[in-house]
Amino acid sequence: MNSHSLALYLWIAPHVLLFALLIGLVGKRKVLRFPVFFSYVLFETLQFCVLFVMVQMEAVSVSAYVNTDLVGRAISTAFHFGVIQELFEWPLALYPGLRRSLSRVLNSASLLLVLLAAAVISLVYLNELPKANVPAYVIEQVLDVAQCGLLVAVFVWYSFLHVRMPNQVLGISVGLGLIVGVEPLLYALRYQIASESVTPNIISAGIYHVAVLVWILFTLIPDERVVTHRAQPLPDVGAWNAELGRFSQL
Amino acid sequence: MTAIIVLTLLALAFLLFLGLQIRRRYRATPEGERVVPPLVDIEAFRNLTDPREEEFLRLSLSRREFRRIQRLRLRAATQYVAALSQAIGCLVQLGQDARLDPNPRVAASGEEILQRALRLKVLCLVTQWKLNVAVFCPTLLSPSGGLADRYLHVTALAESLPGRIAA
Repeated sequence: MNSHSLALYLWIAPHVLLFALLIGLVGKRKVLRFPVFFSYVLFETLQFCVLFVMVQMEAVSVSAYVNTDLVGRAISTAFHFGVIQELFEWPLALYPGLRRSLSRVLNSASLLLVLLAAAVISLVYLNELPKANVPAYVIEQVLDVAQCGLLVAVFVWYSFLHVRMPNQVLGISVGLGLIVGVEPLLYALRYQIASESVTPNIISAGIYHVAVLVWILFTLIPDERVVTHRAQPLPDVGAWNAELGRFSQL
Repeated sequence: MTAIIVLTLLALAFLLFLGLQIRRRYRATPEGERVVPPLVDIEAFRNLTDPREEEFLRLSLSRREFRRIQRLRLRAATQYVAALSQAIGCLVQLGQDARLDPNPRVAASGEEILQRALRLKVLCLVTQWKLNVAVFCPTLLSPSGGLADRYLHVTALAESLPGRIAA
């Protein structure tokens, strides 16, 4: 398989799999469980269809294709933030008030993380880039690093709440993490070292393929119905307090 | 080139983190590693967060002395909330286990315990933030004792579960 065929496969196959994932989500009635993620998958599939048709049509100019791709990427990034917010809010699904408060905190945290990521990336590119004109890929790198920070916070959040992460939440987080975790490095390779090489694009598409497989796999795995962690005997709380009371009387 | 090296290290660290999270999720919890809920003296916590107690101290002590004592009380209350948060974590686990029970009544109770405990967990977080701020201005902010009552309510719900779930 030459690099052109491989690139074509890696462009088409993940989107065919995304369509299968859409069917799986509808079939398993998980659409309403994660509506933003479902919308994101739907958008990615539709975006691929549009771009694929554009490539086939000779009348479409390269700049029209590039612009459409750019708009699509911007919307995808916005969806990423939405999906991460959905993952954060999932344990508090039954408390709209708490969810609203949490979403306000999350918006501030996201902004803070974007600023922090911008600081990190500017340190990384210290003296390597012109200061007056920041390339678009650097902005994408900043947003990707901020998303990595938010995904770490998702895991910390579930750990703090002591909530067992459902398979789908874990799958979405890991899949998204694979995409946004490696992309900043690939941007740097693409634009700084190997601008003519297709290798970074192939690696990027390969990682996207793996991410889609992770989403499918974790959507299909049912959450365990077996109690794997038996909690401590909490009813002893009354006894502890009685004992402490006895100590205080001594 | 520095950018490539730093970004490679960042990507590797992040991928390693994701791998560890998957491993952690599917690793069976050994008996010895179970989370042991800490002892929480609810009455002492109530006393620390009692507004009447605070008012009494405010009237009885000089302003400077009150600030000093109130800071100590707030620091102690922060420790109590941290312990309470850990104990509520065990309630979350209990709720999660109970809601998987084949008995629909137990499962419903488990769901209620889980939801209430999650709400309490968030409340603990907010209370800890407030207490940490209050340490800097002890005369302006007072801790709330409502957390203890809510905790006892969820504990009572947990106590009402059949023994085979709670034990």
